[in-house]
Amino acid sequence: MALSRTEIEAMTPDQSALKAAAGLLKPAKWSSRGVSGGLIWGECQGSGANPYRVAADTDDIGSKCTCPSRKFPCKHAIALMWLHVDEPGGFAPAETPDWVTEWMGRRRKSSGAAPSAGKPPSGPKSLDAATTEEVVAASDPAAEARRKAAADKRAADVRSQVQAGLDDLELWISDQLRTGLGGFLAEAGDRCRRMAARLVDAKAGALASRLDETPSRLLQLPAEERIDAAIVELGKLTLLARAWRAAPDDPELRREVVSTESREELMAAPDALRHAGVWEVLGEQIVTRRDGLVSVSTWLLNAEAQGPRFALLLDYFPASAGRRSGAFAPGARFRAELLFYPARVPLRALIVERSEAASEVDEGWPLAEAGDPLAAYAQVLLAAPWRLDAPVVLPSGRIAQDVAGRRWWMGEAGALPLEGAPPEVWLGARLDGAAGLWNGSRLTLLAARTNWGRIGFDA
Amino acid sequence: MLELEDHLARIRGAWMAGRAAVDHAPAAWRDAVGTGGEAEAALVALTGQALQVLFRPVAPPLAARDLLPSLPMPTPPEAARARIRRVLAARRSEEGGARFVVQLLAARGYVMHPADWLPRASDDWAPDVYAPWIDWAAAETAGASSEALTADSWNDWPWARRRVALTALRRSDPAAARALVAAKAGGEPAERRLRVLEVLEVGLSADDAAVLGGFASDRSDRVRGLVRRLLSRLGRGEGEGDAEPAQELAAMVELGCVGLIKRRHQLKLKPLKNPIQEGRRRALMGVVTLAALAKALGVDEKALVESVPVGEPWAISTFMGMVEETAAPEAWRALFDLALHDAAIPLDLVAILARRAPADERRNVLPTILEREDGSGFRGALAVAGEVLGHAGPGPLARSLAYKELFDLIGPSLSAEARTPPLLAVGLNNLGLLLDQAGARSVVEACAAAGLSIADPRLDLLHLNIALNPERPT
Repeated sequence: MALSRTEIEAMTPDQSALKAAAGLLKPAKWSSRGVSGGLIWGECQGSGANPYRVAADTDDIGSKCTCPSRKFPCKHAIALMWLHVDEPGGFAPAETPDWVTEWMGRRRKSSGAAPSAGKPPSGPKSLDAATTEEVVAASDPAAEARRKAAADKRAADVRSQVQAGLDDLELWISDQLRTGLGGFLAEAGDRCRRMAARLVDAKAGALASRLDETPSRLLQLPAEERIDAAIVELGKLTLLARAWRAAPDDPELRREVVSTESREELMAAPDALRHAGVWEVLGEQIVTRRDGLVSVSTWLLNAEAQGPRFALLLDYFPASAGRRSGAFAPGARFRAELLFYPARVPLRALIVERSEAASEVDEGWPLAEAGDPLAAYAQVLLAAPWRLDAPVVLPSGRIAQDVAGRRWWMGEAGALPLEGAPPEVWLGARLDGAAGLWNGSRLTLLAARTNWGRIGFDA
Repeated sequence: MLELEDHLARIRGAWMAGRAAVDHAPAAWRDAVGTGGEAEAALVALTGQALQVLFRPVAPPLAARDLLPSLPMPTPPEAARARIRRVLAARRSEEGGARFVVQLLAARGYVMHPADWLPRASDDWAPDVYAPWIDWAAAETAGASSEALTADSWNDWPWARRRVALTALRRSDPAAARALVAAKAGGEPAERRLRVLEVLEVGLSADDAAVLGGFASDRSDRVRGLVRRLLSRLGRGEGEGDAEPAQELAAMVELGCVGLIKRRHQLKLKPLKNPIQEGRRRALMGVVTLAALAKALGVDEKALVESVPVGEPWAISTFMGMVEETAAPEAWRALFDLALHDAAIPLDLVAILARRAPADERRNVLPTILEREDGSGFRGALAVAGEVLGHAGPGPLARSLAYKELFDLIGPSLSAEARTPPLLAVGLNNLGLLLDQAGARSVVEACAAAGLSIADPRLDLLHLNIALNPERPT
């Protein structure tokens, strides 16, 4: 079945999906568009931090996208096929990337019929109508003022509710200390869950999620380390509560306590740091949280000397949306402008604009600073003591093990215990440099440069 | 810092027990946190920050392993590694697992990148080039001796490298290798003793009989079995204790005559009374040597190998196994040549005999095998090829019935309703292992012409084959 505008209209679930796809037809929204045989693919910068990978088979009009949309095909897949019909020259002939081949191996062939076949008709659908500019009604200054006043009132209400919630939290922390940390550790799950529920009621959703995850962080440590870890966790919560009370409008604190600003709010923020450069994908962490969300963290390393050393692209998906495919290949390098969420030590970011892959020439990593490998971590904690972990670049070293078989990163300046157990083979590698996350008690290795080339430690 | 540690220990103790801890804090901290209900919360913030910023985990004594040795072959091009990982993941549950892929790479002059595959200590099937990695996996720390392998330097060599060196010595100087086996095999544990004695199979000659005879009463069943098989190949298959089982087996079979014009013998199974006797016959077929059976039946070995049984598949394959393991070279050769050119003998039976053929010979017979392959999975050809992978040209393949049948599977696999026939994937994968680059390229082109997407993962092994340009060892 040949792909055509008519076919696209037929397969689209509804006109609104076509309208949304029309907004993605600008080439700037896409990178790495390619074609091989009947397969087309591209990477689309959507509303998330990580780009979506989209592929389609133009023979049977099957498609796949990494976005969490429940519509099928989603707006990204429709836009990719639409672009191919209108401007096939925009797709460079290339070897099929691995992620497309993997999709080919997993997919079930469709019969080529429109997916909506058998469903009730969803009304007429038209590509032409989708690209028609809508006339926006002139704004009414009085209505605008009313909306702003209502928004301000809502913000003030939220602030006062959060304030009360944080007062409650501090009291709860004092209670945990007063009744003994032994008891707290024994009942950490129940106690933290109850307090987290109160924080949700107090509109401190982000802080509630963090508190909800606290027991699992504590219990994965050996028993002898849990008391200190509990002190650290409770201490950070206290610091966060007091910092918010002193500056409730601070964007970093608001993000830690209430919620994260939207992409649009961030794009409009005047003080958000922008940095264009070459970024290397260190690795990806996918974690299912207790609240049913899956967090996808992509860690980037700045391959140049200027600008922040690391960036984190963080997205959340409902676990019910199924397993997420990675947005990047570990070790890939690309040139992009990143917009960092305002913070004392900027880390979390969004991709504003991404160009094609950077040069294939591997220019290595920026060297780790001599001396204490955790000096950068200490600096982060001095600026933002509520942070749970921070990425670090480590100098040359090895992975060694103690008599109990626990694995450590070992360098000239000291040794750090590793989270999990890296594969045995890397005990035989020389690490010329490594990058990982240090949380005060364990190092989670993300990637390393070794005598066997670049290696990743993704879960 | 010691003083601070002392304060922290007391603060920790107080909070463990649910007591106020402010009084245990350093004076400067007490001033900072003040007094009253919020002091304890302020103190926990200070204490937590101090624990994270000022203190690091204290490492116990740590041991670093030796570096994984470099091997004398390059790892594959970076672009091919993603495909290798995908192929390995797909083959994880398949027969042979990584084995065939590892051997294909070795045939082209590459070793796996250790991030993609590393042999285990027990993977003694791995090509010789991996011996240093097998030693590393077994945590054998002795470095390969720079001296030649001798009785004196025997223990200086790690096990896997020692075995490879001994095999190489056997090829270049059989007598020296024989002397080493005689001197050292007895000192090795049973599993290694077996592997050391197996080295004598390379270029086995009558001169080895005395050494093998020395292990005829070994305490290990497997060693005794090996020795009996090798001695049998040397025409000494009627060892002590062989005659009785051979007589018992001979009573359960008979040599009949078949063919109207060209009369020849055929081994037949006599009807037996019960399953217990059937089981006994099967067991005897697995242990009796060809020479002993021939003597019990009153014929010579050559006559016996020409009387291949028909009917019961197990009987035919066990008979082939008996010939492969115990027949004298002439008898094995006669049956191998017969089986190779007799289309009535299935390739999986030819493969049993081919286990004894040297690599060069298997390479030579592969075109014949590919041409007569009749299973679209190409399993028979792969079994005959053994570790001789990535060599077969496309010419004979195009003439085989199996190739046509394989392409007949593509059309049905393209329809939406079709359940993908696994045989198509098996056949394409096995061709990816068997063919040379030109052959693999021609199959991919033919598949694309037949409608299969070029990115179809069933073509992965063929694409990998094409990407592996032959490398010379550095």
